[in-house]
Order: sequence, then C-alpha cells, then structure tokens
Amino acid sequence: MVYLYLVNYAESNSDLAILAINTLQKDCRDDDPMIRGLALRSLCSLSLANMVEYLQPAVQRALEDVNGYVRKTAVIGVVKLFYISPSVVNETELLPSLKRLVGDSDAHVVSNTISALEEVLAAEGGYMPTEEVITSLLNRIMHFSEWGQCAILRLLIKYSVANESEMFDIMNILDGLLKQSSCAVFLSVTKIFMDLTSTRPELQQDVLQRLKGPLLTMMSSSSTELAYTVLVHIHALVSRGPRQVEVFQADFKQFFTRYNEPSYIKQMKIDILTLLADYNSAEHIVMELSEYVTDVDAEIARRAIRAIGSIAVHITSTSEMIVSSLSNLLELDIDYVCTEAAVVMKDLVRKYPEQFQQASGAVQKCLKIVSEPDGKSALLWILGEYGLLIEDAPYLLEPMIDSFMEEVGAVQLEMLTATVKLFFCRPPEVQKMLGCLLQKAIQECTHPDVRDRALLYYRLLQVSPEEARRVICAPKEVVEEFQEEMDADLRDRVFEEFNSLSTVYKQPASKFIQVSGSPFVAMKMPPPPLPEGMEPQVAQPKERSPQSLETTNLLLA
Amino acid sequence: MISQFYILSLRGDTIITRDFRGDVVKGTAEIFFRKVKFWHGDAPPIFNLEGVTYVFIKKNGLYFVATTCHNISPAAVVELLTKMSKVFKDFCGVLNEESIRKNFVLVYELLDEMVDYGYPQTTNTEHLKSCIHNEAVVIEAPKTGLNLPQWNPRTVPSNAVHRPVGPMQNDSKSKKNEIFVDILERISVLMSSNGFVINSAIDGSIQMKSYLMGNPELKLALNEDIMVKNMDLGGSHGGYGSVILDDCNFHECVDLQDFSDLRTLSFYPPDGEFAVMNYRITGDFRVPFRIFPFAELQAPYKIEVTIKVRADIPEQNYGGNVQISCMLPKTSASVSTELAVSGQSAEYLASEHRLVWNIKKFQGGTEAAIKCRVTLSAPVSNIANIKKEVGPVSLTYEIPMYNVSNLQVRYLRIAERHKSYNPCRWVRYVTQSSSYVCRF
Repeated sequence: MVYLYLVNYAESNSDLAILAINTLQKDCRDDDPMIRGLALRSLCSLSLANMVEYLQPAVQRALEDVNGYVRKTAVIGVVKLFYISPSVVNETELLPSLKRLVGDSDAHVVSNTISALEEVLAAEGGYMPTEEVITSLLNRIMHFSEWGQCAILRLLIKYSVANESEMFDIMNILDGLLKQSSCAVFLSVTKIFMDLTSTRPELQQDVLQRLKGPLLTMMSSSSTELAYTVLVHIHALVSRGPRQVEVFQADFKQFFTRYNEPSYIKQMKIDILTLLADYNSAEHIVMELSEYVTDVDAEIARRAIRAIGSIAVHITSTSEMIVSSLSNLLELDIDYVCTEAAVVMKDLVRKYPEQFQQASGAVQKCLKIVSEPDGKSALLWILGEYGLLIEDAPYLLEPMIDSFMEEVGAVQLEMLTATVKLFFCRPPEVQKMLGCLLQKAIQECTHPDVRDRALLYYRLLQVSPEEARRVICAPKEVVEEFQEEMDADLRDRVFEEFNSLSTVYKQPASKFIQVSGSPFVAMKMPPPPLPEGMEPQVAQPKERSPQSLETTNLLLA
Repeated sequence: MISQFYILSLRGDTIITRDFRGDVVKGTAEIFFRKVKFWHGDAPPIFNLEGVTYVFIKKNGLYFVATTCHNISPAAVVELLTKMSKVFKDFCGVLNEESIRKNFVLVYELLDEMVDYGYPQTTNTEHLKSCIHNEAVVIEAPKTGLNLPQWNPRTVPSNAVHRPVGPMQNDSKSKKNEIFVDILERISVLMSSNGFVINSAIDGSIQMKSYLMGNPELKLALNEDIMVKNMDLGGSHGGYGSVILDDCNFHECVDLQDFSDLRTLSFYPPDGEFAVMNYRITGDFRVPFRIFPFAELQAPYKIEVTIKVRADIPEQNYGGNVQISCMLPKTSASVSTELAVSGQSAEYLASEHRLVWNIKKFQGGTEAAIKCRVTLSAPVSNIANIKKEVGPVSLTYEIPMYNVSNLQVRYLRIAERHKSYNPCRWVRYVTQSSSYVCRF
C-alpha cells in the first residue's frame, strides 16, 4: 500500500521519490521473491526520467532471476522503461535478454514477454516470430492462462503459414481451445480460422459450421455485455456473404429478441435477423418483427419496420405478404409506426409496382396521422405517382396544400412535384389547387430550392403543358437493386480487423485510433522462404472489385 | 492494453480508480458517467469518445469501467472486467458498494496483481490467494432469495455461499469442509395466445463454490444418457427421456477424458465460485408454466383482461416469488382487479401502464387466474386494435429443487485423503425464468 502511495505521488514530488529509491533497491535484493517482485514493480512505475540509471541494472538482474514471478514483473518493467527512455532499451542488453525469454519455462513470463516485445518493437511492426517459436508456443498453449492464450493467438495472426499441412496442424491444435468457456480466446481462434481458410471457401464454411454452436451458446448464456460483443462479431460474420449466411440460417430462431434485453442487444438481433432471412424463414421472421413493432421502445419499433422493408426488397417472394402486414401496421394509430411504414411502403412500391392495389386503402388512412416530415414526403410521393388509382387524391392533397407554409423544405418540394403530377392525371380537379400552390411557393416561400422548383414548373407549364408532362412524368424503370449500405471494400477492410474494436464500430482502426505507433495494428509477415525445388504456394490475390460485385448481386438476387 | 480502470457507484461516485499507463487523459470517470446517464435508451457496453474507448459492465449496482486508446479485442476487455468483478466478489464475500469501500486496500492489492501496466496477468482466484496478504472485512450479506423457513437441517441458507475466500489459512478451526453445487437453468419461452410455443431455450450452468481443505480432485458425474449434438460421444445414449444438449462448454480446469464414455468430469476445483459447465438446449421440453391470456371488449370504454396460469410441474414442487406482469394500453384510465385466492396481490403501475400480479408460492399442478377490468380514456371500436396494445404477458419465477431438462448430478466424488475427511456436499437445482413471454 505504501508502494502505491509512492507511485501515485512520485510524479509531482520527484525529489522525495528519489529518497525512496534506496529502500526499493534494497528490497529488490530481498530473499522473498514476492517482495522482490513488488519492489521492482513499484520501482519501475515511478516513471521518472532521472532514475533510468538505477532502473536499468535492477531490471536486467531481475530478468534472470530464479523466480518466475520476479521475471514476469521484470518483463513488464522493460516496457515501462521503454516509455521513459527508448534508447536505454534498444541499446543495452535488455532487448536481447527479452527475446531470449520467449522460450522461458514459466507460462506467465512467456505471455508477458510476447506482449512486451510487441510494444517495444512496435515501430518495426512488432515481434516477428519464426516457425520454431510458433511451434513451441502452440505445443504448450494448453498450459497458458486465457490471457496468455490471447497473446499467443495475437502473434499467430501475423504469422503466414508456409503450406497446407501446417495450416491443418495449427487448426487441430487450436481446436482443443474451442471447448473452453472464455469468449476472448474463442473469438481469437475464430479470427485465425477465418484468416487461414480465406482462400478456401468450402473449408471456411465447414469451419464456420463447427464454430456456430459454441458461438450461439456464448451469446445466450453470458452476461449482456459479452452477449453484445459476440452478437457484433456474428453480425460481421453473417454480413460476409451468402455462404456464411447459410451456416446461420437454420438457427434464426435463436436471434429472436427476449423481452427483458437492453435495447442495444435487441437492435443487433434485428439487424442479424434481416440478414438471415431467406425463402423459408422470411415469413416467420416478418411475423416476429411485426410483433416488435408494438414494443414500448420507439427506436426498436422503427428498426423493426425498416428491417421488414429491407427483407421485402431482397426476397421477392415475400413482397405480397409484407405489403399486407405493412398495411395492417399502417392502421395502428401510432404516429412513428405510420411514418416508418409509409417510408418503407414507398420503397417497396418502387420495386414492386404491382403490389400497390393492396396498399392504397391504408395509405389514405394514415395521411391523417402522419406528422413527421419523412413520412409525409413518402406519402406525397405515393399520391403523386399513383394519383389515377387513388380516388380521393386531390381531396387528400387539399388540406396539405393549405398548410403548405408550415411544412419543412423537403415536404414542400415533394408537395410541389406531387401536385404537378396529379395535375397531369386529373386536370380539372387539381388546376385551382396547383395555381394556389405555385403562387404561394413563388411569392411567399423563403426556401430557395422550393421557389426555384416552383418557378421551373410554372415556366414549363406556361410554355407547353405537353412538354412539361414529358419532363416531369417520365416513366420510371422498375428499381432492380438498391445501393448497399456500406461499401464492400470498406467491409473487407473492417473484416480483416475482426476481433478488435473495428468490428464494434464498423470502421477501420485508422478512423478511431488517434495514438500513433499503436502495437495493436496487425501486419502480416511475409511468407517464409521456401527450400529449393518446391512450388511456391501462391494465394490467389483477392480481386476486390469483381468479387464484391458478385456478392452484391447474390445478396439481392 | 487497458489504460485505466475504475469502479463507479450508480450515482457516479468514484470508489476505486487506477491509471495504468498514463496515456489517456485524466477525468475520464466524469466524462463516462455523464455520457452513460444521458444516453437515449441503454448505453452499449463499448463506445468511443474522442479517440478513447470506454468498455464497461454493470454489476450489482456498480459500474466497472476500463478505458483504452488502442484497437484491442473487445471480448478480451469485457471478459477481463467480468473476471475481475468475480475475483472481487470471491475475496470480499459479497459484491456491493459497501464491501468494496470497506475493503479498498484489499481491492487495490488485487488490482495490482491482476493487471500490470494494462496487461492482464492472472485472474485466477486460486493463484491470487498466494500473492495477497490482506484479509477481507466481512459485511452482513443482504437477505436475498427465498425467505421461506428452513426447517430441514439438511438444507443450508443461501448466504452460506457468501463467505469470503481468504488467504491460505493454516488453522482448521473455522474451516468446514463444504462444497456447494448449483445447477442453474434459465428458461426462455415465447408463447402465442393459443398455447403454442413459438420459441424456447434453456441456458443451463453448473456452478460450484468450493471451501474444501487441501485441494482434492473432484469427479462429477452426470446422467449416463446425455447426448451432445455436435460431439461424438460413446456410451449409451438416446431413448425416451434422455437429455439432449445442443452445445456445452467447460471451464479450463476440467479434464474431459472420461466424458465421452462415462459422462464424468474430473477437475481440481479452483477456489471461489466458478462455472464447471455451461450448456444450451433448444429442443422441445415441458414448459413449467402455461399461460392463457384472454382480452374482451365489453363496451367502447371497457375491456376485460383475463389471465390464467397453470403450473405444469410436479405437485411437490412450487414456484417461488412468481410475478406476472402484463402491459396495458396507453389509454388506460383506471384498472380494477379481482383475485380468486388469498396469498396473492395485484397492483397496477400507472406510470408504466403495467399490471403486476404477485404470487408468493405457486404450488405445482394448480391453476391461478386474475380478472382485470380496464377503463379507457379513449373509446375503442375494434378489439383487434387494442389487442396490439395489451400484453405481452411476462413471467418471472424461481423453482427450487426442480429442473426442466432432467440433467442430474449422479454423484460427486472427492478423492479421499484421510478417514476423517468428510466434507459436506450441498447440491441445489434451481430453475429460473430468463425471458418468459406470452403474447395475446
């Protein structure tokens, strides 16, 4: 406890701290290894620049101590020393002694050494292990604590295998680790398996099948925070492509949310369910998602509706069922539900124009309830497009035009376009309204876009109504596919950093790491040189562009 | 790896703080607390603010927070925090604000041993016992769990498990050789209104807390006919009534050699509380409670909600502290309830629009019903609309000495040292609800 006090205040009272050094140095030679370790740790944590000359011999001596506890503390001491003064570490005997300790007999010492070397050599890309080092570490991996195993696995990520048999050897050894209940180890092993099998898709699928069971167990049996982390990683796996989706599809029921889960877990599960939907399961999933719409939390309800919409877009066969369930939702009197449903309906109708008949009744009803701008714009668009089919369209439009000035810019724009389109379909009813609207827009409105568009329409109509009609009511092609949410290239990059914070934030590390020279940016080692006469095993370079397009098309097929 | 670690109370007071690397700014505790308190919805356990990542877990009214500025594995940090909180619990007996405050010297010492310069060293209670020299100040454990009288001398109150694990004690005066085994199953069920089970799962775990002297080897045997779906197990399996596990995983100290033939696990138990095995079952099983909800429109302003619950468990078992809660429409003005039997209580929480029905002891094989009349402030024409706003009905309960999956401990053998070595074994089966929901 005294040591802790010293460490905390050493930075501010450096002269006083120097007085303590003598005692600490003496303690470093004590008979009891616990005291030696404690004293060394405190000595190193004092982080004062002018103490380097005392620290260095103490650490050097401790690196060769008989007791493992002292050695392990000394290893971390080297890292602390490195941050005080890097030259000391690089130029003296400390670095070579550290490298020697990788083969130490005590597991704790080795795991600390690996982490220490990663940090100290961060400028050169970290510690690059040779094949013998990797083999010896893997043979002993079962004896390490879970943190040691994580450290070894981090090292393994950088190592590139020479040939296939080595890959299978590594996978066999790591298979034993999968039985444990530690999440961190499991996800690290998953990452390594994914990396190793990245050139062999069928093998990767088999591997994923094997990993799926424990992943699901971990997701449901651990605390909510761990479950969230596992879910994030499952989502990353599932969004890789159709093969991965296939593996998890049978178990989609596991991703139904539970009543008492926190909202971040529910959101993740809804996202995963959306990706997992296919011909067989879509109906169940949509039914389940419809139940979430009445959830107390508005955000969850919105997400659920958006999810239903995206399933409809991807899976053609369900469109009819989804349109009918959306119409049911539109009849609920909840305003945010109506807004979201309207937006989704608009997208659906763009893709499947023939479904509109079913939806028309509901659309009329919800016009009265919708209050948010997004919803209103969506409904106005529908009114404009399908003016012929909706009987009451002009009369529905009229009250909205009256309140034109109170609306947001986006809604005003949409209203202009919708009214003009409607005018072309049913001129006698709409003409007066159109005149009134255009006048308001041009003379009273302050929003520049709205005014400009109104002026454009007015002039077009003045010149020739026929031309105007051709311009504004151009026939639209049926939308085949919608833009992917995230750029496929970006997704690949993020996946390379699986099992790190990049998976949680869905961004590559460079975006959110502000510290330079971080030792945790994994760089792949060059493959080892082959002996003479062997065929080099060339991994197929990942042809990014065609593969990503292929994935995109498969997802939307 | 991690830069700082602190423990905060639910009000934001910093109880413990430790800066390991000095590469993250000070004052992050306040920033963190302010962010989490004002988050819309539940704050996710991992988030990033200005280049600093905050990872936290919330346990027993305390926030355990770690900050880092590097791109580390999130699972590792969450596991580290969970293990650390478990170690604190083992050493202090119970985990709450008071016990941490009283034992802060011990906690700092543990922290020093567990994490060095941000790298986790060891979180194994067994290992730490040999390095720690402080003793814990034991505080009164709060009374939780079932408050039913224990007449049976063969049962022990559940707070016996709250004794702290101390440093090596050479004296045997206070040491009773005891080992507690809990087979805890958490049931999640999703039912529809006609009694059809849409989704069901059991998350089970065998937890053990060992206060055994010396460190003998333990052999734990489970039913002979357990089958695990993705493992190839020898021995007899299958047949009616056998237990089929979807998946299971084991603690790192368990030796699985005999598992495939004899379904026994052998291990040297580490000190403190740990989970020997976690398993998951998603097949069909008999759900302990069947719920039959019914909603009827009586007049434009009145609906009547009837909920019948039937306990499908053997008659000698009972459900304790059963709480049935049902969401009612947002337009409910007043609610009156009618209960058939005494020993139950019902109340309506207007702020959450929730009806809560408590049954202290729900005997197996019996049925309980509640009729509830709701007066609405806005008229309703169509029962279908209002039905969407009623429910779901969710249930929380705890059933002692019963488990749904039929997984049983056949025996627990302790490698005998001397003739007089006779430890007490306490085995307890508990079935708890995890998310037990029935829709209208």
